[in-house]
Amino acid sequence: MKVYKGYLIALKRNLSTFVLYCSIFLAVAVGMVRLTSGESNPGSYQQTRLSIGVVDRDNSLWSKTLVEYLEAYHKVSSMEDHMDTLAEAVYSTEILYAVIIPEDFLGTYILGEQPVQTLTESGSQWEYYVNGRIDSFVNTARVCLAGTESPEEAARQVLETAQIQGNVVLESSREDLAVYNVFRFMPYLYFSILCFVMGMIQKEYQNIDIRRRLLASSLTLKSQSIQSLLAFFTIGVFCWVLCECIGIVTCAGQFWASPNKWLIVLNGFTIMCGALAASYFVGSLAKTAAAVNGMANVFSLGFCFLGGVFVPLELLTGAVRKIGQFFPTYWYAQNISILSFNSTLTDSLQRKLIQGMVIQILFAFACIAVALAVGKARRQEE
Amino acid sequence: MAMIEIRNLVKRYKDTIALDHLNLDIEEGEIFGLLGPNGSGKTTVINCLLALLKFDKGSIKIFGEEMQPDSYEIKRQIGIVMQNVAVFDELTVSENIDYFCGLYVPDRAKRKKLVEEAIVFTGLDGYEKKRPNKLSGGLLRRLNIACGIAHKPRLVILDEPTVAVDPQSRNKILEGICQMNRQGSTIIYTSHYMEEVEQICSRIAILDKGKCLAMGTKEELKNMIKTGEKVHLEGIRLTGPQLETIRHMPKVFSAVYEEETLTLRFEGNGNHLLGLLHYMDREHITCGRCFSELPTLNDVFLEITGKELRD
Amino acid sequence: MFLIMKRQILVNIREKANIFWTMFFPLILATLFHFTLGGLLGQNEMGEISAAFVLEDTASSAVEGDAFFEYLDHLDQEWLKLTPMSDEEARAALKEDEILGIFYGGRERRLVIGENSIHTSMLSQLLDIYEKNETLLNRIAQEHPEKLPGAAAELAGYRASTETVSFGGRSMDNVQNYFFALIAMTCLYGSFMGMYNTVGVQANTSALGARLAAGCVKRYESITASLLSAWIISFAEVAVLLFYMDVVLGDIDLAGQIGRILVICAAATLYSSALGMVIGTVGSLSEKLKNGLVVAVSMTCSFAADLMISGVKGAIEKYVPLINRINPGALTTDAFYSVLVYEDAERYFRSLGLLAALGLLLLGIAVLSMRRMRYESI
Repeated sequence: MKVYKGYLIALKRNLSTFVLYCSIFLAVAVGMVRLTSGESNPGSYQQTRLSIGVVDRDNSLWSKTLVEYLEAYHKVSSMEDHMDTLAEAVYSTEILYAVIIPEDFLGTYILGEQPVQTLTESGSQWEYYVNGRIDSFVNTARVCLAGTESPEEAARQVLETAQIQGNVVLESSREDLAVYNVFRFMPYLYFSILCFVMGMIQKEYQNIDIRRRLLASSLTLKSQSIQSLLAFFTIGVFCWVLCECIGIVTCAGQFWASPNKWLIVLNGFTIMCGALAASYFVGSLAKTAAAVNGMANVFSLGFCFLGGVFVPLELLTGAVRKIGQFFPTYWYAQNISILSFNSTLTDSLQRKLIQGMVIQILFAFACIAVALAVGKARRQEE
Repeated sequence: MAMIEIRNLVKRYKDTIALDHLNLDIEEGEIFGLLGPNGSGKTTVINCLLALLKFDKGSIKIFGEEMQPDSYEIKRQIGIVMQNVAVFDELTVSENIDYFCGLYVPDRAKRKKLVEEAIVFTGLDGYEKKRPNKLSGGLLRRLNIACGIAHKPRLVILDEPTVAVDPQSRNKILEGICQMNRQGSTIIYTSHYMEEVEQICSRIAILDKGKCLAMGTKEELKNMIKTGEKVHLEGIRLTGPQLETIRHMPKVFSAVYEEETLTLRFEGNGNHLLGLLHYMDREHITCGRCFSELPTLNDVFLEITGKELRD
Repeated sequence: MFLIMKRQILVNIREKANIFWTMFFPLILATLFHFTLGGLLGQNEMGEISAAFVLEDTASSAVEGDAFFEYLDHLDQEWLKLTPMSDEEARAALKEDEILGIFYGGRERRLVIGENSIHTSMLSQLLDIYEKNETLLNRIAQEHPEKLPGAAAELAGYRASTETVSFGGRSMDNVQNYFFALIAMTCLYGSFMGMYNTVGVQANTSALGARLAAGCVKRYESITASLLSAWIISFAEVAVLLFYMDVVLGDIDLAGQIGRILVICAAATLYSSALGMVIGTVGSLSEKLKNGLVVAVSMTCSFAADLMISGVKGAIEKYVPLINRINPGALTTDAFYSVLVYEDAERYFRSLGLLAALGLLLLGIAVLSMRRMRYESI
């Protein structure tokens, strides 16, 4: 088992570098998780509250009433009356929507025909959402003004209508958003860590002198390959345990509550195999450390971007989804989404799940086969 | 007036003295050898000469003018072959030579001819389109030289150009240096291989610990030391009185007799082997093998410093 | 001098690792951004929302005539697609995510939804408004019955009363910023070239530099050549990236602004090249260490310019705005913003001026420390 031990020794010798890289990748992954897992699932219906900026040029009863009215539905902050400040705030998503309450709000805008100027991403959901609310305010105000004695009474009545809410029921299906967000990023960890670390070690073994020495030894090529694959597998399993544990710790509560928890971990194992095979491929192909570094980056970023790891599959466009199907990460992401959003797995879902895992494993075999073939071709050519 | 005058040159690196009041005069047309063990200050002299290094004291004049970092006219007439191979890995052989030649010769047509000549001169023909990392060690050294001398400088400085080079390439390089000298270039050659220096240099300075211990032609240097001819006689059987007689022969200053081998050292010039053989003939002494050696620069170095050059 | 420049450029281009990281890596990232963030680009865009309408507990099963249905049907909101269904159909559709919500009409009006999102909030807003209007009219009928006709007339005249300000049709989508940050990162990668070229002309940092210094090339010429070659290459790489993103991928739209954008990139690559030169002249660190330093500096600057996670630049602007004024990445994205998103000449010229001024300052520092030709040790 000399070759096998050699890999482990090589890993041990470069441990500090690897720990450094692993922590960098981990930090990136944790950052991504934190970035996307802002939403939580409260279990009952809640209206979406947006950050809204208000510029009050009118400073009248009605402008104040509008601000108060909006505060019932959204997070309102007062803004400086500068177009560029507003634009930047909207662009940087500090606020999603800004409304400029003009002078003579009552005369020209509520009773008149002039529209109120608003500032938001044109054509966006927030535009429709908040516009609807302001329209409702203006119309309600007109109704109240027509239906009451004084403006004060009308304003009070408008505000009172803000208390009225329709009966909305949330029929919750199971949604483990936290589990989804954490475990969705696992492929990035596997691909970056394994491709980088194992790629480096495997590259060492590709060194001509080392290879010639091994070839000259009494070990058969077959036994060498088996030993190196076994060493890869050992390190891969270690990495799997480590990463899945990190994932579980990050969202322990939801994970243990999930009925599919063991399938999630199993799904992690299949993608780990895919990443491991990719790293074997990288190490067998790359000739220099710089090449390993470059390939590891391109593989991990490319697979994760196109396979729906960084950006949820639903947001990928048709063509990308088709390309993505060639990557194991796509099937991993699909499985994770099935496992996170369904409490009971129907037959068709189960079939989909198994199909996804099989494809991931097939990818791993394909990678290894190509790497071994390339290795063999190279041996003969020297 | 000498082509290069170095006066009282002192260079310190923190606590260590690299050059200690060094004086050198190098005449136009010579092949001047700087001989010394590693760390004796050879490369430091070169770097000071090229105004790359600051020095603490002294003066350097080249072609009768003070050498300054911006003495571009002087630099234009110097070719330098560094100890480390300094070429671009990303450029081919001919591109490398063209680039370095271009630092001195702006005219493109003239440069093209010079580059071709340099390639032929260093025997790199057939490798023009190759990148340096595809060349063997010897060829790489030759490329390094070609880059330094392509512009046909008046003064060529070669800093250990034959380190780690196979004998064939080495001979080629040494021949080339002599040829450049014949074509009119003055050459400064540093090495710690005394055989090379002895073979090609017309004048030699021996450096150790930043000092110039001796300077002159090789004959002059050898005359400076006591040891002249050295005679070895192997498989010889001597009685005590015979050994005493030999010890008292004229000019003998040391006779060592061990395990039937006699080593004799004579003072001064001249050959003494024949006299010795006559004596042996008279005494009916036979020997297995006998040979005589004239002094080498190693002997010079040994006698001046008390240590071997290769230490 | 042109010869040195020419060779230096040739050397830089032939150095595979160098070209991969400074040119192909950004191109690959741009492609990945295109395919994935491209999906995000329209993420906030309003799409159609499907909902079902179910009539409960009434004798007739015809939805027509139900006041709530009439209200929803006549809303004239192009985003709402309302389909009358039976209760079972609607529930199945909701489970399969075919619809986002079910409006129940009849005795007990309510909305059933499957998730909390802005879309379902919009559906609930419709219900709210209906309930509100009903309550309002009831109240007026009770308190001021004489005014009811007027109020009812006003209600019938329901109209939109908002107008979104647009900036010449330019998108305010924040996702664009990732593309700007990518361009800024590519500009920053110019510092690699600056560093390599500087190390290559100094006698105390490389054997090649010693050879160059021993030659009869004037010092200012070799310094200028190393700057210009670094600048030209990094600028060319950025230009390739811009072309790729504008023409091939279409993620950014430079139409009519190419001149101003190129000026920004020129200033940004000047800054980066000079930054690389300064790192190249620092002390006698090995080239490997200097390389690490350049990686660290350029990645930190990109991070602070929102390349990896958005919001970093905003936070810096709030607490230490000075950093955004000197970070070339932030200055570049700022300038892009002021040209491509919100027309802001003041900000554009401020960013441009800072880029150029800081670039020249760094260049000055680099030149001062490279001007030396004699070294203490080599």
